Amino acid sequence: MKPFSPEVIKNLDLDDIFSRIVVHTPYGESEKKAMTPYGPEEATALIAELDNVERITELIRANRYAFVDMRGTFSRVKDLRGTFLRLKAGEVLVVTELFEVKMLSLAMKKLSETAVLLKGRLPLDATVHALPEVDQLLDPAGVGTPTFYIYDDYAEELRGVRARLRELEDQIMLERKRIRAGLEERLGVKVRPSGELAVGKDDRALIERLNAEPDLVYSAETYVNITYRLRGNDAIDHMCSLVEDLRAEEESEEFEVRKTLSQALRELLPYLEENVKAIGRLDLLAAKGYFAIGFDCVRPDIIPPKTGAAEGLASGVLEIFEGRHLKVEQQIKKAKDSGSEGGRYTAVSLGLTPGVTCITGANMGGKTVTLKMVGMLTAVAQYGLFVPAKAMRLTPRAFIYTSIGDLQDVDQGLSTFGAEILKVSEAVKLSCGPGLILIDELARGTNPKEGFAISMAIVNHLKRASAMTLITTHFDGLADARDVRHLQVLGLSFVDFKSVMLEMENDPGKGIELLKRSMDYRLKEIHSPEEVPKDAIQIAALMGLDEKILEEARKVLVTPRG
Amino acid sequence: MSILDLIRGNYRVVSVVGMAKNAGKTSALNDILYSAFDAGIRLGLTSIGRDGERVDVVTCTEKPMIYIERGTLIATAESLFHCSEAKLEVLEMTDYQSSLGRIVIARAVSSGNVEIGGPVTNQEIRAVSERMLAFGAELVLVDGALDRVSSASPAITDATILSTGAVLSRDMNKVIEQSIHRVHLLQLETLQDPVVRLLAEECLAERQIAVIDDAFEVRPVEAKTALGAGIKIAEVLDEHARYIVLPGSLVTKTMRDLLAASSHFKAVTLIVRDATKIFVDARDWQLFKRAGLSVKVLDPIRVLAVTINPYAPQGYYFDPKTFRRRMSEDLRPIPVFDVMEGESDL
Repeated sequence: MKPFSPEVIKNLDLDDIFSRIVVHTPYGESEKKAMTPYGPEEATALIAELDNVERITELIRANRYAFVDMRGTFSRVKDLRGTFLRLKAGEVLVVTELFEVKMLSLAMKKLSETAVLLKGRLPLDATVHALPEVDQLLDPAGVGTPTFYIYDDYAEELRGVRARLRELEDQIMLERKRIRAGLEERLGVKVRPSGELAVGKDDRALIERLNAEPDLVYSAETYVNITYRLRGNDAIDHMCSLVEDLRAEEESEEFEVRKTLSQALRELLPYLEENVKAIGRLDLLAAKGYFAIGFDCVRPDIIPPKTGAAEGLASGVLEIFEGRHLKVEQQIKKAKDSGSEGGRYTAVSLGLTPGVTCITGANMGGKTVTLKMVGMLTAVAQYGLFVPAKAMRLTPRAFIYTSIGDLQDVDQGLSTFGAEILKVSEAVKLSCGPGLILIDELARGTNPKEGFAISMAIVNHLKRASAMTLITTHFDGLADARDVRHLQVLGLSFVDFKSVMLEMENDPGKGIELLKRSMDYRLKEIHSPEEVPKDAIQIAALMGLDEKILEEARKVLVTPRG
Repeated sequence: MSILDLIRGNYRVVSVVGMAKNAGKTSALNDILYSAFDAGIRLGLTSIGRDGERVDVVTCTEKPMIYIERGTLIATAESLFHCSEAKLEVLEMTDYQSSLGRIVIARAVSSGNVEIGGPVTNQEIRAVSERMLAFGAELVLVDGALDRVSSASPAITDATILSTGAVLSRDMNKVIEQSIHRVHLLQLETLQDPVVRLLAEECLAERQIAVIDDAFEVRPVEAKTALGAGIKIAEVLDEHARYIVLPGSLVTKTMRDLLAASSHFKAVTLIVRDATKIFVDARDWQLFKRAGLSVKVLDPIRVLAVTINPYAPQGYYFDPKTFRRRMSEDLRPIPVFDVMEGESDL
């Protein structure tokens, strides 16, 4: 299916999820970037992917050591796709490229050994194979060292040229050393290792002797110094010119070897590319596995959409048992770890059916977080990942639509209300498909009376649609409409307010802390309007609103206006 | 006594830096190289690369070639690697990028000339040096730089050889003065207090100019550049100020502004990363010192030896013996070598 829109990705904090899926190779990075959600028509493929994640998760749990070792191998895998392209274009690789192919092949060998260690339980497309042909090509002597050079073993001609070169160079060096030692002894001077000798011009006697010395030649002169250089002899000169020729010969022999190697590698390219693809798959699968383990996730139970049935209301499941909004949960955990009193994260359970479900309840009761959590878990499941919950059943959604947060769009000159209506009308258009629509605080941007009316009309439309819609709202009346499921945040309904207020008197600054601690973020289903508790005044009290104002508010609440 | 004798057994990573072009750095480097080849010491060789460096990959002519012997290890940029005359065995392709390509660590399989263009940052120079030691080098030489263009500094090496010469000025007194001033700066006192070091490191990491007071509070100074910073810093100074942390360069103007705009500088110590960040000439430096300004560094640079070149490419020269004698006297106990003569005057 189509990727989620940037807005959905932002609203559901999916970037945060992706940042927690850690790949280690450039190929894994490409696989990760190419991830798209599985839609309802791809339910079978999604189930197969979740099978793979389940298997890799079990493998990681049972083979920690092997997987850490694998991560080490991954970190040495480099992106050679540019080199592959050059091979394809028929170009001759240079020494550094050949070195990198060798390193990659060594990494593949290591990964294939890991695959064997895991008894072939890795998915086929994530199984890396050793490429002995490549190893053989780039390590002709089979010594297994992780270095590369155009080895003598590649061509007899090359070996011959090099042997002669080495011999000549050694001879030249010996000859030079011999001349140098002789000079030093004869003249009592010290010749620098570079073969140079500088003499002050005032030392005329020495200069005369040096000028007469056949093994020295005038090299340069300053105002006070004359520099002499060791003169080779004819033998050295001859050997030097031979070296020049041999070097040129060596160069062309090496080119021939590189050409042959490149040609051979070109034929092996399909295997290399297949392997590289497998490395990417394995890397991403392992990252998915670590995500599942690290964040205590479960496999979502995917219920394929009923085939044959007409676009019915009854089709499709979305049930979450103790779901967690990962980003919020991790933030609380981090705050706790760093010592500040962060409290605890409450997991929330709920189920949606096609039509409209409303969440009402106290301010600060976590309605928006719950709304986002539903979207996050749905998206995460459809990416073929395990979900942060105790359990989840899901019929994959054809789309996810969000209207969350402050929508004011200054660029387009729209107010909050205008922007929201623009969004919601898009949602209304989409609602005939089996998607998921999430709306936070419907119609909050206008006056309550009209806002309620517009909201009611929207809800009446959406409740007959095949999309699942979840709305958070302050309008209890909206939630109590016929054929709309009403979920209520438990909020402060079970709190002993007297004791809380007493505690607050002792420490007036503790309001928010107490509120967070007392708040029950879980949901219950409401069947009649009378059950609805009023928490706003109690929350205002905890937040430290003036007692006289609170008293006034309580009065207004019981006396109807006018 | 050669420069190599000073290094051998005492230091593993040594940089060679020149005070100017033609100060004799290449001669000094070659002197150490040849002595090492002669003594059969396995060397590692790299250089401090520069941002935006270019090379003509066809002719490979931009940098001077350096002759190395079989077995020598080098860390150089990929494009220079392919230009080398010596046959090289690849030991590692690092992920360090330079404008001349990734840095390759290689071993010479045959002797010959190579071109060296190394990593750009401190950490990367240190890392490739350590890698070469791990691959079997006994000593690593870093062809260094002492200028604003390089982001890496010789402070990351264990010891430094400084090359200076007649090229600096026609007046021998000026050359001596400038050289001594530079050595003096390079050997500036290192900040010891671990708490202040930590705070200063944090400021440097965030490139934040700041004042640290006697209660170890860090007061950030809002200034875009080091150039106009003096006055802004002076505004924040009071009787409690103890340190000023400067993430960039320390220039004369900053010190002058401080002196002019605040009376609290006497109790204050300026902190810079290392001595290569200081661009204040000898005369101004003396002036500020007398006025009571003090400067300390986080990373010390150990000057192991100074090499001199009595000849200037402009055509003038100093009497080598006098030049070396006077430098030796003024720099004692740091040994001075005449790279054109090859012998030291200890």
